[in-house]
Amino acid sequence: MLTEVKGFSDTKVDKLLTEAAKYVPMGFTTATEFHSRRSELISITTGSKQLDTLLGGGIETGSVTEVFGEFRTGKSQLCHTLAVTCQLPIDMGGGEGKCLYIDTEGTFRPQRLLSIGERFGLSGTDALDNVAYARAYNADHQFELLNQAAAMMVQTRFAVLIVDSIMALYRTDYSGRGELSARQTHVAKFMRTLQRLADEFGIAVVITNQVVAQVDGMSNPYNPDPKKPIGGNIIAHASTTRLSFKKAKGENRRCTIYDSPCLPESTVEFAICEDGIRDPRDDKNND
Amino acid sequence: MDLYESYPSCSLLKNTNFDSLLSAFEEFEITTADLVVNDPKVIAQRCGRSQVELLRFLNIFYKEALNGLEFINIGELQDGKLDKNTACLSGTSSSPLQESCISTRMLTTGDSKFDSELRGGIPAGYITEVSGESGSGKSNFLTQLCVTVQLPKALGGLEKSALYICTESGFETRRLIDMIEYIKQTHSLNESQISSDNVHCINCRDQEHLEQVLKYQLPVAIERFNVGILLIDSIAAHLRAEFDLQHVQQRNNKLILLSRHLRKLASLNELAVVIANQVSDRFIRNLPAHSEPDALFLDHQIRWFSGWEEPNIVVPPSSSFHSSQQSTPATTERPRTPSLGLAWSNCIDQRIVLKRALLPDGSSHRTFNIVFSPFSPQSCTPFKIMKGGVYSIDT
Repeated sequence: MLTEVKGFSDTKVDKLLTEAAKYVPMGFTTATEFHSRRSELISITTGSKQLDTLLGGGIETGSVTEVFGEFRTGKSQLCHTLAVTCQLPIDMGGGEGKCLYIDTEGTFRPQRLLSIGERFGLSGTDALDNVAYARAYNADHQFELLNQAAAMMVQTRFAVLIVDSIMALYRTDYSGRGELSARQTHVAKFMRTLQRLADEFGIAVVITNQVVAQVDGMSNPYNPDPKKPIGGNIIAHASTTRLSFKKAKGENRRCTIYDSPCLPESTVEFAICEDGIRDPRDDKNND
Repeated sequence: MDLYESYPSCSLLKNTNFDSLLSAFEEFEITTADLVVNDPKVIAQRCGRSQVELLRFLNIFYKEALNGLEFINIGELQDGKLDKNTACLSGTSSSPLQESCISTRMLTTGDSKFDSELRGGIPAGYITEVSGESGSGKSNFLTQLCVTVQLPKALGGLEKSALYICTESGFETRRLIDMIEYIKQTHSLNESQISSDNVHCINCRDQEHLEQVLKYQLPVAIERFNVGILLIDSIAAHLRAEFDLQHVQQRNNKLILLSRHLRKLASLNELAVVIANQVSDRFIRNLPAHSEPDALFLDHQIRWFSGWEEPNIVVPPSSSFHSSQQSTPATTERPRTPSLGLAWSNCIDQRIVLKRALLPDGSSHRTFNIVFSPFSPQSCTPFKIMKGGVYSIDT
């Protein structure tokens, strides 16, 4: 910018900025301050007490949480439950905000929200009104929706942004190794925008991801059925917390912390019920 | 004219007598290098100024600029090294270059095994890269260094503060507090010695912001906060989103400038620079079986500096069974490489790779690998992430 002013050469601008940096307050803050700001962030309940404990209170706001697993492992069910619980008051584990739901696979079912809302004592119309739903049809559209999302977040308080699922459209829009690098750059941009929205608006971002069977080369003798999330290292590095969902007995599912900056690796079971995600039935503490 | 970048302290820059000459340099694109190598007559002709004026300028320039240069005879240096102890005892100060050659100050990682593998720890004045997959413990390791830098010198610290620049998700202060508590307890230190007040952090939302912070705020911050270590987590996040394959050249250019700037600050201020890097998958070209790969191919060479070997190429088929039995689970994974390519690999002084392999019972096997370093040989140490930080385990 400054270089466009007549008579300002690169060198002069450089000198100016260096000198100016000595006088203006710096962008650096101490970790103590950072920590106190961070402890103000809330967590949104998942509906299962055990899962909440595992996650240290629930889904963290201000960061990106990735949930990956095979089909029927409860990824979308978690999304539906969060779409309702984020509307709850803060003392009930909610976020007192609306939910923005970006659906790429067409798995969104409003009826589910009604039954989940009933469990938490929310009227059906309220539960539905507070969810802004968008269906994305291609990767560029998916990215464009984030811009619109930002505009909406300026107007009203949102608590959760859900993308279910993040890679589905990329898988069809880009094919083969030739387009891999273009795809990954696009994904990196998308993830960065998500992180920025999380930072700026203090929302929780939840993305779901599909898995593929690992077919490359050698079979790992330590893991006979390797499944890994898609999206490569870009998604892996960009998500703050990564959760792996697996099927367990009956309606139970198993959640493992795969990667988290602050939580130790551990596993817990939860159940998928008519009214959303709960603790497993055989648990005596259940409600 | 790049005199300002080369010699920011040069008095000529503030000398009003030479204002017009300096702008003439600017206009005719005469660099500092030109001034040193070229005949004054030629320079005067090129920018259309009088020779007398130029000579007056050069007189001062040579005096100031070349003052800092000192040529040391290698033999002399060796002698100095031999009687380093006597020099210290008698209190005679050897030249600064000699001193820096002899002793690089090392910052402890907090774990004695890592320290001994690294021959002391993280070197001050050098750029260390820590790369690894997501969840391999990079950020944990970096956070730990924020604490150890504050340790008293007797315990291997620098008694200085830390700067943490994050570009991915925010700085994990909860882990920092955990580690501070743990280290405080083990060494029975008090609040005034180790505290989260001595860690300064900033969140950079894009590459431009990162560069602006590094270029203009960092030098001020280093002085103001008495900084001993700079941590960047991570260098790749923004570059990967902002540059695609067509713009690799520009990206590399940025990286080289950035590392030059960091290296300068590091050596001037005895600052340890530790940069986290992401990884990418490495694709192996399908070479015909049993063929000897060309030793000069990057695909072949990269194995020595990426940190991940490709067993398919290294080991002939007959012996691969044997080797896979011996290898740890980590090497059966597909090969990866720290991102940002060869240009970046040339910008760093040492590379540490953290690996993580999943075991069947769901636990992880983590290793701390020194890939290349001017101080220490390659090595591989298993480690664990605990509440108190990142520590090696005995095997």
